[in-house]
Amino acid sequence: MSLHLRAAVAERGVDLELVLPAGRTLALLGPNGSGKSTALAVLAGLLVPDAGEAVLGERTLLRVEAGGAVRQWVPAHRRRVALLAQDPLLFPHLDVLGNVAFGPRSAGRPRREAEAVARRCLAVVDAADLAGRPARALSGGQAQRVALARALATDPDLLLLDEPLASLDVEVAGAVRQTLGAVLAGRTAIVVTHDVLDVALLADEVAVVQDGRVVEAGPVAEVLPAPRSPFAASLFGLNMGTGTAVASDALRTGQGWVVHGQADPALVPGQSAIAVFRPAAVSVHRQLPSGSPRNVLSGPISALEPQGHLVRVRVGEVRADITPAAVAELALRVGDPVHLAVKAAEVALYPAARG
Amino acid sequence: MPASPPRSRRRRTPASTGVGLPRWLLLPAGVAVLFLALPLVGMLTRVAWADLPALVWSQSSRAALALSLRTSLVATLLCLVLGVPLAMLLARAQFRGQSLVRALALLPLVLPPVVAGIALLQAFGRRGLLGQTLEVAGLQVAFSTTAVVLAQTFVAMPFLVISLEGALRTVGQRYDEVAATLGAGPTTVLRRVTLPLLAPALASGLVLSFARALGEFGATITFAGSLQGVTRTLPLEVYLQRETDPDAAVALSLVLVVVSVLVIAVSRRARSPW
Repeated sequence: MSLHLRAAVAERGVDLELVLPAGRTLALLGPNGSGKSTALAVLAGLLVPDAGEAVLGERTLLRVEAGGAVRQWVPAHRRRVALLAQDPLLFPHLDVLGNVAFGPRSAGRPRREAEAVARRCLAVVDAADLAGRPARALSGGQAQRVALARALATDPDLLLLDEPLASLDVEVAGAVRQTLGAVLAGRTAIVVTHDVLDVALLADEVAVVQDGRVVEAGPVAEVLPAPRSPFAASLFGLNMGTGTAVASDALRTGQGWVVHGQADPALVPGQSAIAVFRPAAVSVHRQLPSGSPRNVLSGPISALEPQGHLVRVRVGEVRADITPAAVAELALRVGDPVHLAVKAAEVALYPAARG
Repeated sequence: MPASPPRSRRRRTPASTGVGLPRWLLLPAGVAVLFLALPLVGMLTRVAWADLPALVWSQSSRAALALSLRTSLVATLLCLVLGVPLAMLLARAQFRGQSLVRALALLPLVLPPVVAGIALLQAFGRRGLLGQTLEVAGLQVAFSTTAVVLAQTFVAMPFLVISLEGALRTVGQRYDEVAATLGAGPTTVLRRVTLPLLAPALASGLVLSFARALGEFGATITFAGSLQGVTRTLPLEVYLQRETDPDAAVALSLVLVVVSVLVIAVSRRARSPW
């Protein structure tokens, strides 16, 4: 079922619009406090926006006029919109089966039938063996699987997942992510996340949210490799330069840095263009490097930060990820003048306007 | 998982050395313990153990005990039926005059019981606000067993409301919200999620209300009087016996002490398991 949401919540500085075709999964990507969860709360019926509208399939879930007058409001329990939060929130007074059967029971189905549905849903999330356990005796990953089964058992028209993996250990998150991927296929769903991995593995569409606004949206396959906003690029962990194409394979940034790269065939000199490259593709030098790299940027180091097993060297807006050994060898300190180099083969150049 | 208090009340937690307490605290704390214990010890020394069964089981005592238990149970039931919705409203709703209603709900806690009795008379007595109406309906409330129940309910309800309102705030609304997104309407949420989660607080609130109702004296004697078998509850009986038969008064007091100790034990057991 397709979804169209428009919602403004002044108190949280949120004013955004989302469109989602039926059967697709949308990743809502953005930093904490950017308004992602607010959007979910509005959709789930837990928060009345100051203004907005939500249409799910043929049904108008809510319509609030600009003045705040509520013209249409379907209460949460009649929306057929299930919400899975970061915290699984299993009912502590029920066992696992009771939790998962809660939805079908609330819909008026007899106990036996509801429990059959619950067992099927538990099997879908690989948690069939947990059915008899008390809800309080589960590990984080188990609890999140059960919470997912509980949401699925209501057969929702729209499934909302609010950072479903954030509270899990890395290994557990990986396994639950796989389950999620299988479950979400063909479902209309929204996944809130700040992990670009979730976008790549779970979603068909992505909307990047910054300060309560959608700054970039589109199919994952288009947006992820070629972000149009510096904000999205930094969320995706990419370096990004904007400027004007000065050749079929080069652009000049606002600061006058000329970047060569692998150009999109559609790129025409004189057009606004974008250059994107991975921080790991950037090397750091004390002396101006000679030889192949044609893209060199010089400047003082503004920051040195840990980045996984690597060290992230920042020079202005550009980030380079290098090994701690390299940092030690070069004796890098914040403020030191360095030269960053990136091979043209590592840089993607494309027009700034999509399509 | 939500932070849940560890279920260690019967297990001994390893003694934390912490920063240590100043030793001089022991003195006033010890005085406090003595002050609380001495009256009980005094009473125990004065109990006529040999005559105890006869004293406790005399006709008037039995009547008083039966009346006390009966009225306290009904009052506790009234607290349940009226107090739970009130606590829900105070904790979960937002409306004008809410703080006024909350103050009203807590007033009986701080009001001298005699004053509560006088106030009840002005409302339900023959010449009270509702007295005429009730009389037309063939009901005479004041100085009846009904009055005993009303007095007990009036003073006991705040205990239930307070303990429920606090628990409602602690539990929060997150489970209720999840239940709603799973398709449960407000009544189903209340029945299948809110109340089960509140069960421990509900139990301890009910026990406290029952205890308060059982011990009610001032409001009862003012509003209901002291008629044997009709309004003379156990505390009233104790007070009356004190004049004529001090041994009986002490024996009956012992009964109330035992009941109170049981109440404390039950309410401690009923503490939140999650």
